[in-house]
Amino acid sequence: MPLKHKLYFLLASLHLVMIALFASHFGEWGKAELPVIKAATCIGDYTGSNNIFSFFAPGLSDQPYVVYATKDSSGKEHTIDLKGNSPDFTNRINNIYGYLTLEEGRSIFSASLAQFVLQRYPAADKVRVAMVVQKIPNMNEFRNGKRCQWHFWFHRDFEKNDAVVTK
Amino acid sequence: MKKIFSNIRNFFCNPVPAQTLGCFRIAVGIFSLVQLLILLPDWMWFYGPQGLLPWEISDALSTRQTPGLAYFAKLLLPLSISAKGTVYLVTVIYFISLIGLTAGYKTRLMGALAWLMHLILNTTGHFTAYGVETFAHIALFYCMVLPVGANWSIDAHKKPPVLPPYLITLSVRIIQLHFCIMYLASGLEKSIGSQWWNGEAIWIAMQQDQFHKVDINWMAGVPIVPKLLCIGTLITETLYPVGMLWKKTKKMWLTAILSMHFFIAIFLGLQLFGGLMFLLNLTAFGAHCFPGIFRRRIKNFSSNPHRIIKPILLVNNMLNNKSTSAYHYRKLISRSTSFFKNNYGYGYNYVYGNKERAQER
Repeated sequence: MPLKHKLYFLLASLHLVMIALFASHFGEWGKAELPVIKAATCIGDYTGSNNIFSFFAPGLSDQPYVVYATKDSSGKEHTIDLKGNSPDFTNRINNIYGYLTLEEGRSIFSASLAQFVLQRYPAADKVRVAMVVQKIPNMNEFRNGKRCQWHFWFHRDFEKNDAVVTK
Repeated sequence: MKKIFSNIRNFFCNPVPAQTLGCFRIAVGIFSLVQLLILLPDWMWFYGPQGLLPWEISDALSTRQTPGLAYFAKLLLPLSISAKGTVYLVTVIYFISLIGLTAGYKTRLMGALAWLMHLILNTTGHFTAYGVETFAHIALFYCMVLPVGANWSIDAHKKPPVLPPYLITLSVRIIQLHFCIMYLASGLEKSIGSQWWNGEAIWIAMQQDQFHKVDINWMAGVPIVPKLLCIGTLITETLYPVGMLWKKTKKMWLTAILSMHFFIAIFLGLQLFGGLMFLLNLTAFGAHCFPGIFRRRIKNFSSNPHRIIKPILLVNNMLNNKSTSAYHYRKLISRSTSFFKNNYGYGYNYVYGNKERAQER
């Protein structure tokens, strides 16, 4: 086997080792500041070897969702449920809604969504970004009559002049 | 011990069909094209400078070291290409490279372009991405670095590649082992949670509004069903490496994993994710579990292409031969549709059979 091909085998081995390490949450082992780890993470961003595979793991939680309400200069209100034109839109926007559950990301993500809605509805002067959560009963509770319910979580109000009015 | 080393050596050195890589490339290329077309109506919402998340926000919050659309927009600004123009340019290059990759024309270059464009788009649209983008990214990376153009490609047709068999084997094994590690990790992480042992995971997933495609309220009365489904998922994923690589179980395991992804696509509405994982598993392990599966089909076609072409020629001949009743029927439909269109403004859909019936309509 030529040297070039032996190098291929070596690179393949390294690649698979990286996949295994990152799949076991290597990046969260507390040594992220080491240059080797940073380099490995950077390489992983390009090769796809630094992914974790926590799909629906270790469990599922309540589903967040966002509803928008706009008000124009005449005081007329509209409730908007943002729907896209492609079948995959719902899956993708729900990813953003998931970040709204994080306290530190709430203001910036809700502001981005508010800006998007105001651009789509230019007649609107104010927009309220309201987050709701779907509480799902377990099977035992369902048998006892409890059903899925939407609960209000938080809302933020935005105006076109960029002043934030938070309630 | 000797036997173990011998098995490992055989695993990495015994020849495997090169059609596996060709199939993998074609499946990834076609899927990515279909995904592009499906997302196109909302493309600017996901990737535009003023989309759901403006570029400034997505770049500021990104933890990735990869370049996004904003970076390339800055580079192209001196050429009077606007931010939106950058998005269109990247999309067009992505589209063309996927066509080239699927056809196997300048495969390495097209694979590299497709991977790079997907990387750029995915960096910007990171917050809207989910599992399908993760695996598309991995698959396109493999299409760039592995000899996926070695078979079923324009490049191979022009000039058959001279590759040692063990490199083909290594390429296929990398993909297979990646999947083994991925499913093992996924299964182990799921098994940490109690929901996957008591059946609540499937129950909650299918009750969630975004995944609620089928009414599963009856499952609350038969909790053994979601429990079995959850434990089945855990077993299928966690024991994937053993199940897929052991000759006694590989056929059954491939069938199980394909079924799992098929049901994810149907019952959870994750058609793109389920479809991609179905294709990746089928192409990576299809020939491994069912030897000759790809070779048989292409062999049948290439040895006797008239099996497919002849019926098409026969139908065409019938429709154009004045001595056949099919020709007269075709002419009647053509005349009736013209009559209806000119007099009643109806389209072609409404006309069947003879003139009287057409007038009734």
